[in-house]
Amino acid sequence: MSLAVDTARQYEDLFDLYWPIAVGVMAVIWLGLLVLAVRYRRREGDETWPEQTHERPRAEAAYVALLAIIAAVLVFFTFTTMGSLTADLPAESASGAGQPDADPSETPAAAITVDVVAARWNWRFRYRGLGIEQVGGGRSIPTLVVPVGDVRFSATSLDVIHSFFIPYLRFKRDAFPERRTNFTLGFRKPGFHEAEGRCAEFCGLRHAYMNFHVWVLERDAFRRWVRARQGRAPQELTPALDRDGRRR
Amino acid sequence: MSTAVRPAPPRTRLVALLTSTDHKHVGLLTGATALIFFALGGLLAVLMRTELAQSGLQVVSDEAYNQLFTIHGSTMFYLFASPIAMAFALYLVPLQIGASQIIWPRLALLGFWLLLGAGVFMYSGFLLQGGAGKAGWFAFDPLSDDVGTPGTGQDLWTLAVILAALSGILQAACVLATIVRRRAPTMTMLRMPVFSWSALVSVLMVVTSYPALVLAMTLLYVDRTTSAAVYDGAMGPIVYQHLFWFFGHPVVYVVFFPFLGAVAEAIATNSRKRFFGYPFMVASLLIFAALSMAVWGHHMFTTSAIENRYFALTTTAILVVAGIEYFDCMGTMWRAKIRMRSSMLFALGFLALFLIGGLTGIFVASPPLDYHVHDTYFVVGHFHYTLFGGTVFGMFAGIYHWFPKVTGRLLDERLGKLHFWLMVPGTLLTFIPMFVLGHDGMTRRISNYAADRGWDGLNTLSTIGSYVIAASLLVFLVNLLRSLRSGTVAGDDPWDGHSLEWATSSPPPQHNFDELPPVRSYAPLMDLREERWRS
Ligand code: HEM
Repeated sequence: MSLAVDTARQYEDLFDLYWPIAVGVMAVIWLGLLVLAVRYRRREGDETWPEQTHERPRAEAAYVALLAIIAAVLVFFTFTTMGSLTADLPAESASGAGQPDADPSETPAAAITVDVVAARWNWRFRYRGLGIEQVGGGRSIPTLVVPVGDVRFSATSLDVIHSFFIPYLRFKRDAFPERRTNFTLGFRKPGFHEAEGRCAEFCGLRHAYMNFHVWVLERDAFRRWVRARQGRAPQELTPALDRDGRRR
Repeated sequence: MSTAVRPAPPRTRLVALLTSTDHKHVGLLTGATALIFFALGGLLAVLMRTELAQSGLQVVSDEAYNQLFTIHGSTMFYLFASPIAMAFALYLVPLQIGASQIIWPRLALLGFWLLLGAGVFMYSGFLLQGGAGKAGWFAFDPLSDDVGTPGTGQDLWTLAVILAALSGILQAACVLATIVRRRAPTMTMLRMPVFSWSALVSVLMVVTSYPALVLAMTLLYVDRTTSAAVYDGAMGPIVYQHLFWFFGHPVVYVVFFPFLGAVAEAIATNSRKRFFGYPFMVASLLIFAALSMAVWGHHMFTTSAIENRYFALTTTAILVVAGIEYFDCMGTMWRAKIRMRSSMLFALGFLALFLIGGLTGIFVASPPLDYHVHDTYFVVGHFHYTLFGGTVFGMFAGIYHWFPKVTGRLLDERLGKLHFWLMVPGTLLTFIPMFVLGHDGMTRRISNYAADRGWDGLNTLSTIGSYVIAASLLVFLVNLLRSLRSGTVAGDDPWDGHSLEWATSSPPPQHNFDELPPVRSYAPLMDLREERWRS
């Protein structure tokens, strides 16, 4: 299916542009250093002074121009990617949040909005308008259940700064107290990702354990999950896992 | 005089040193103190790496690990890198520009005492029940406030950072004023050696950016200790980040430039050629400094609270000025007759390894790439190549280069080379795996990771690398102690130096110069040599 937002793809495309340039530059300079160090090494016993060339202004100016072109190309592609990366919506203040609640049965997947609430050291995912909450507690971590396709998120924190990070989507956003950070993520394939989600911003004692599972469902399966989930405890419907991600 | 002159007993000699206002003594004291903190910070790093070698917790608790990385990072920036940059500047700049003393020497000495106070404050936290500071070296609010991280250890940490910042500002102001007012009569700005220029841009950035740190930390201290809630509200934490990074980014260049300058001097001297492309270098340093005051927001790409495009643009533009420095260093080696002394090896190591930090820096300057690798081990790898590959390698190039000037004795070359050939593989082994781990999603500042991630192998490699680095530093320590006691006497100018510090005795007399040679370029001693060749 086509995604309006595909953060992983955009990351990989840009990364694939950057790394060959970086490796190329590195090869040229390392090789250059090696050649210079070997070629112009003083011979044993040679006490003479080399010829004193200490300027090549034209060559240097041309080199500066070349660097500027490289920088311009990189900035151009970065900006282009940012232009098409629609993940970001403007941040709003916490009090201003309030989209009309959605009708659970008719909701197209793209209209799903998940309110992410981070608090030391766990997550709560509230599905706007569906009356569902996925909550972690104590040492158990919650499961973020989403349908295939685009899903809106609105993240906030109850205490210190946290960061909502899903490594396989190549994306993270910080969650601040008294602020909302809004973004959209596209989920391409159904599947269960054990303890894939993490807190990326250091938040104190149990920061290393502040994870969550990501469970992507086909749309139909997601609708069935929503109906079944409404009014039932989450453990009955999500794979039961302990803190380290082992199935109980 | 009739009374025999007896050497002062050791105790009063120490007191005399600790209260001396000679810029060389203040520089030495500050530098020696910074090196001791480097050793302490390194010890904490090895402890951290030992914990991280395997998944699970083996050596320390989560709580202790948080103190380890906080005090490691804080030590390395506030108590080691920034002070050693100031120490190099305080000792060498007056000599290079032909000054007999610095301006405001007592303020420089006060800077040393403030640094010592900062260290005592920061480390005394370990003696408290709640432990030392544990909110990271940038102590984001609200984690760092009295609710987020209560306890005296964090209070002491906050005060320590204020003291360290004031220390830096005072010493930088002395160097800046000395460059402006105390240059020898014929030493125009455009005849200052490259090291002095690099020190100048560094201290310029200190006096413009460190006050933001003092402000941020003072407000934080008020927030922690009174009922005032300075950083509350929707914007509070964002304001803190702006204040902090307005200092926190420039500081990485503050601790980089002087060692770039040291590397430039080491390359030029060992190549037996004047430094290549001097006007370009000076211009690039100034533009570099200006640009790097305008990139702080790249630490905030994932906050959704800033204009990411602006900071991506300014940050990427830095590659142009940084590239000039590579061109000039390599141009100096071109058609030269290079002596591969330890100082030259470390200079080459600096160029080769800092490059990894610079190139990965261009990656994280691109917001869509940073959205993934921000706050992961990719970034930890990146900044250690700039700080370890850059600052530390450059510092050793400087130490091997100027040790004979400062002490009158030579460091042992064989041990120097052993030190280098251990430190290079150590640095690669320690920090290269971090790029892979970070790209794979390993977040930073975690004491523990799940066994099923497959991260154990790379982490073990990284830990082994850190032991190799530790071994290389022990070699250096042996070399240092041996040379201080019984090193070969160096003479005034063992390397055929280029700049004025090599035209006086080693170590220089209190007034620095008995007689100044004429200054007609940025390499006055090369001018004299060329004159001799012509006649
Ligand atoms: C002996 C070599 C070194 C090793 C093995 C080492 C290792 C480490 C490790 C394991 C971390 C923790 C990363 C984390 O948990 O997120 C760290 C953090 C850090 N290191 Fe180093 N390091 C070394 C040298 C240095 C040097 C020379 C500097 C600076 C001049 C430095 C500056 C920092 C900073 C600023 C942090 C971040 C602390 C924080 O997250 O608050 N390190 N280092």
